[in-house]
Amino acid sequence: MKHVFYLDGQAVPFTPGQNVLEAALAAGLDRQIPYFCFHPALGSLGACRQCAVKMYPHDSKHPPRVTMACLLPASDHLQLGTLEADVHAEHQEIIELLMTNHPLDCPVCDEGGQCHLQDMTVQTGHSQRHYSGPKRTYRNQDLGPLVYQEMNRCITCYRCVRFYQDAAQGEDFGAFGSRDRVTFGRIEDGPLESPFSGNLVEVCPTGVFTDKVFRHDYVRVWDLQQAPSVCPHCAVGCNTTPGARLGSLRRIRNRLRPEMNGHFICDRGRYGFRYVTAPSRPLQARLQGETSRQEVVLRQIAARLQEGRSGFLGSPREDLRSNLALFALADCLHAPFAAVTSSWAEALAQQCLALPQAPSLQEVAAADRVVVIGDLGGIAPMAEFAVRQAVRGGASLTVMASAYTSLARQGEYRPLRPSALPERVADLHNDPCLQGSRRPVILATAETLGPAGLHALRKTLEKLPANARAGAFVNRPNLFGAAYFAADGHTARLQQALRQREISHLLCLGADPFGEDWGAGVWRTLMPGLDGIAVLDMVDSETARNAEALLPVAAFPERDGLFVNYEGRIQAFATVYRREAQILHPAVHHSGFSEAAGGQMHPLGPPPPWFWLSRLAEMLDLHSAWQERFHFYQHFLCPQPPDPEGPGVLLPDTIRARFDIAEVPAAHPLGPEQWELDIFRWYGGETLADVADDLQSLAPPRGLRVGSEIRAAAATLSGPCGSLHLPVIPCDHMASGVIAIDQDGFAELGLYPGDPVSVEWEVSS
Amino acid sequence: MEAVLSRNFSAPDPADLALYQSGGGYAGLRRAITMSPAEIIDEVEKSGLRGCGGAGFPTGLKWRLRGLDAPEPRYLVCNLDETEPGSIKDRALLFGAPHHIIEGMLIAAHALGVRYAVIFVRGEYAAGARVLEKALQRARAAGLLRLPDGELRLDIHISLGRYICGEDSAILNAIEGKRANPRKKPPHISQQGLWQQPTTVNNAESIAHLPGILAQGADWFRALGVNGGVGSKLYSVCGPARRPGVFELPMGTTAAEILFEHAGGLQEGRRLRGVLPGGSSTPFLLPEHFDTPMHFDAVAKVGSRLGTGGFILLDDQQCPVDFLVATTRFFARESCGFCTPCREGLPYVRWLLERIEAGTGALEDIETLRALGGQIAPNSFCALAPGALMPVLSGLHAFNDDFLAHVRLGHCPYQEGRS
Repeated sequence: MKHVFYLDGQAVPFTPGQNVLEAALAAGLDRQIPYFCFHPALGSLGACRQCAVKMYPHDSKHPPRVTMACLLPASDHLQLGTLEADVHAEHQEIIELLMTNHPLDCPVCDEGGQCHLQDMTVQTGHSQRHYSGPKRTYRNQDLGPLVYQEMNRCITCYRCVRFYQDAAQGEDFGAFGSRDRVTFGRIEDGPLESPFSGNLVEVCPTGVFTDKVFRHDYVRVWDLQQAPSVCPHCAVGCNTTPGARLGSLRRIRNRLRPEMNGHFICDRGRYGFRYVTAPSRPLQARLQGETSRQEVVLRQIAARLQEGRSGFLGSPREDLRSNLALFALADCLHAPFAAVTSSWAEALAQQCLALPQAPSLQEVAAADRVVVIGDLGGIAPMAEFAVRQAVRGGASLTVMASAYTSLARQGEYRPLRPSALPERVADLHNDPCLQGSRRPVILATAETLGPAGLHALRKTLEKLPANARAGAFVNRPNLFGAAYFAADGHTARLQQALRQREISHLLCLGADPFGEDWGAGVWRTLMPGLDGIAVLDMVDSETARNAEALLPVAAFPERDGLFVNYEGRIQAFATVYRREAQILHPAVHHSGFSEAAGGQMHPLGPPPPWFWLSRLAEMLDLHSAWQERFHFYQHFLCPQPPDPEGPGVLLPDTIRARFDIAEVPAAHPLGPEQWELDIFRWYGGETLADVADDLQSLAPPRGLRVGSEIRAAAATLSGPCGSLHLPVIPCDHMASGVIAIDQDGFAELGLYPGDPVSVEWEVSS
Repeated sequence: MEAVLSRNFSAPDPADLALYQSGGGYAGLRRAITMSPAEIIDEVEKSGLRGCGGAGFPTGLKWRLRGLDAPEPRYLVCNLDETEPGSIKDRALLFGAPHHIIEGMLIAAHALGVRYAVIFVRGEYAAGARVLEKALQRARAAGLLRLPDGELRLDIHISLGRYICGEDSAILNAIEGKRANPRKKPPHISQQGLWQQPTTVNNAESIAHLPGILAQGADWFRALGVNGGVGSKLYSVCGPARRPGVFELPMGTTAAEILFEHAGGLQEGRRLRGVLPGGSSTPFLLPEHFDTPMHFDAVAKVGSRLGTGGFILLDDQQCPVDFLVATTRFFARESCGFCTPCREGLPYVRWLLERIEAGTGALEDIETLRALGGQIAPNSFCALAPGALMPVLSGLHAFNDDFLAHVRLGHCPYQEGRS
């Protein structure tokens, strides 16, 4: 049965349990009922008293009364009005009361043009204020580099505190004071600690919390160029709306995607975009480390490729189409290709893809039992956010990790070494934490669980009830896309070819095999055998700095493309803007287009990778073959690229099934040493975000994290590829025998999570 | 009338258990534990006891509506957060009748099937809470807290302050350690109250009446009242009376009798212009209505509220505008800041009143005051702002000439001749 009530005579559909305001807004009726404290994701509160409607009772005994739409449950055939004089007056009166203290500094307010208070004021028609007394003023707090506070503008709707404390379960932000002196902030000045703090900017209906990073490079929001995009900073693939102006990216906002990120994104997603404007970003082609003409660099790479001694390295950091273009070129040249930099990462990718359909974040939030393996918040903060929503909804939570994460405080924490995880996961179907569950969800950080653990997880799922779901996360946007190409042994074959001098040149797309990518320790030993490396990248990675030839590529908002997220959801992102190149020298400001094609007219920014690859194919006289292969593979993987505005398309199970046959990886045995490694990540850390300076000013110090029972000042770790000296950072409640280091550390040592490591402690004097 | 609640008010140690028991104390509890919860609720309903916190909701009905089969655990809260200016009756009980409160809580806990109860005491009454604590220790030592279903855990919770903590859902947030904002209803606290469990909140005076009702029966209690009121009532008088204080009198005693007989009338040379009869969130009761019996229905009939029965006097030497500035300052300060009309509206009202009192007000300000009254009260989230406006709106009407004089003269007429 279809349920409707009537608002100003217009039928409004609703689902039972909705309130009147919720249903009216969902039906697109956002002009009739003004509101402030209601937020679709935070629910109703009844504080602002703005959303008055007139309710006409069914009988004639009771007079019609003015009531708040957000607190009125929708019911069938309810008759409501907003056009009555008293309702209209109420709307204006509440705005007028709010305006007694609001500073009306709209001309200098960052929120101007996207201000809910501004919109509601205009909508209700309030224009004349009668109050002429003093306004209350506050001292603003310094909330760190990401969020700017201007407390005088506050209309006390409590949205911020409901988001920060209730939804995000943050502990360092609250409501203080009372009466007309309520303030929202921290106990004392200091950076907000929540990985989701940037959402304050969006939930605040006026300019109390504004984007401090956007503020550095501010432009009126109506002047922004915007287009639907997908966050490139982890495997969740939150939907975003980047805003750019005059060829530079200014900010990122959430783009509502109910089944995924909903109304929110994490701070890595919001502030990590500054890699695009980082001074270190390569914008000019380079040859032997010197800025050079694009054509010269292209010719050099083409010459290398012509020698027939090249290997190709794609990346889970790059989008599907660019990887495909690289794969197609490798195919044309019969050259070895790998999508990931180590056999371990290859197995990881395969095992991720072989997992059955993962739950959407919306499904995670509705789970009744959640098991989290590893530090989910350090890898995929929005997945952690979804878990927090499940916990708020009454779900029980079990966290199996080596470190006592902030999420672990919300549930049962089981301190475990990474090497112990596969065994525990294999036994999850017998674990009391999942008994009697109707909608169980298991979420793992892929790297900590490892290929063997992921395989065990897949086998366990077969023993759990059919409604049990699992997902694995990495901080790469396209591991699932890259996993297509991660056929058995490709990486090993590429390294073998290099070792046996069958190849002596490497073309890397968004890969950093000599820097931070998995297996870097091994790659570094292979470096002497290389005559040259060619790199296509948007960040100045270690590999790029060592490259013979570098071609800069467009950042993600500067081009369109496809990412495959942790669910196997293929999502398209659109070009938001074109970057203007920096004009350094007349000789170098070529456009990407060939002179014959009418290029060179405007100094454009770096082109997408497939443009370079297409040029290389052209120069090698392979263009039509390349194009044919490219389209063939694209058709195979994604016959119909999804619309960037839409929810994307899920990978068919048939493609997943291909990976079912992948070799079962062996777990690492623990050696005679008692210590084993886990990876330490923080919510702002990821290759691209790592060069976003505002966000990185919050990065935790580098060091070796170990249980606080260890009394040492520093330690030296030794692995097969090198050793590492780091200060000790003691952490409470860490699993015993575990040492957590960052990914760079793993590269130095040539090790993987769960590997044993030998340690020499230096006790402080 | 015999002193029921106030019988030990002037005793050297009202927390003395033997003294209380010698006056019939804990007889009500002894009878109550022989009765079923339904029988106790019947008895309380029959007694006609109405909530003494100000709203006058029938206590027995409140208990019945929570339901005998409400899910467990259920909670009981005694509201002794008496912060209403002009109300001092609960303070008198706290210092003078602690065992009445404890016995009442035990009876209520048994009737409601409660194993955990809290007495929430205004922070400024910490000294009184110590008297209550002493009485509680003695009652506990005497085994009186052992109810048929087990021992009652009875805690005394000292408020961290603020008027709003006395609101019956804000008090629960305060006990839970949260911001003491009122909660949205539904769900009503009788379904989801303290820690989301069924909860009953009763005023301390309502609770203190229970021992008498149970010991001597509903009919005895009803017969205590006069002029249509039932039971006894602690009235209090503050202001320029000859004998201000707390008086236990039959419910329904007229205002005139309370003011002129028991409080001894006004001090020499003063004329009474009106009273706030039930604390400062009630409308003015004017001399032409002083013959009104002071029980809930009769006072409501003449346009005011019995409230807490705490009279505040306004005499002819006090400027009514200044009087209202004082009450409004209090409420504007005590607003919890949750809803817009109260948070932003009361300071606006205060500012207008201050302007008028200072002589800088205009005639439009008086109109704005009236208009704000119509905007704030009906749209507020809880009863704080409507209560705050009751003296203001009734005062605007009753003392219109004084308001006009301030505007016309450009200063407060009551300031003339004073330096």
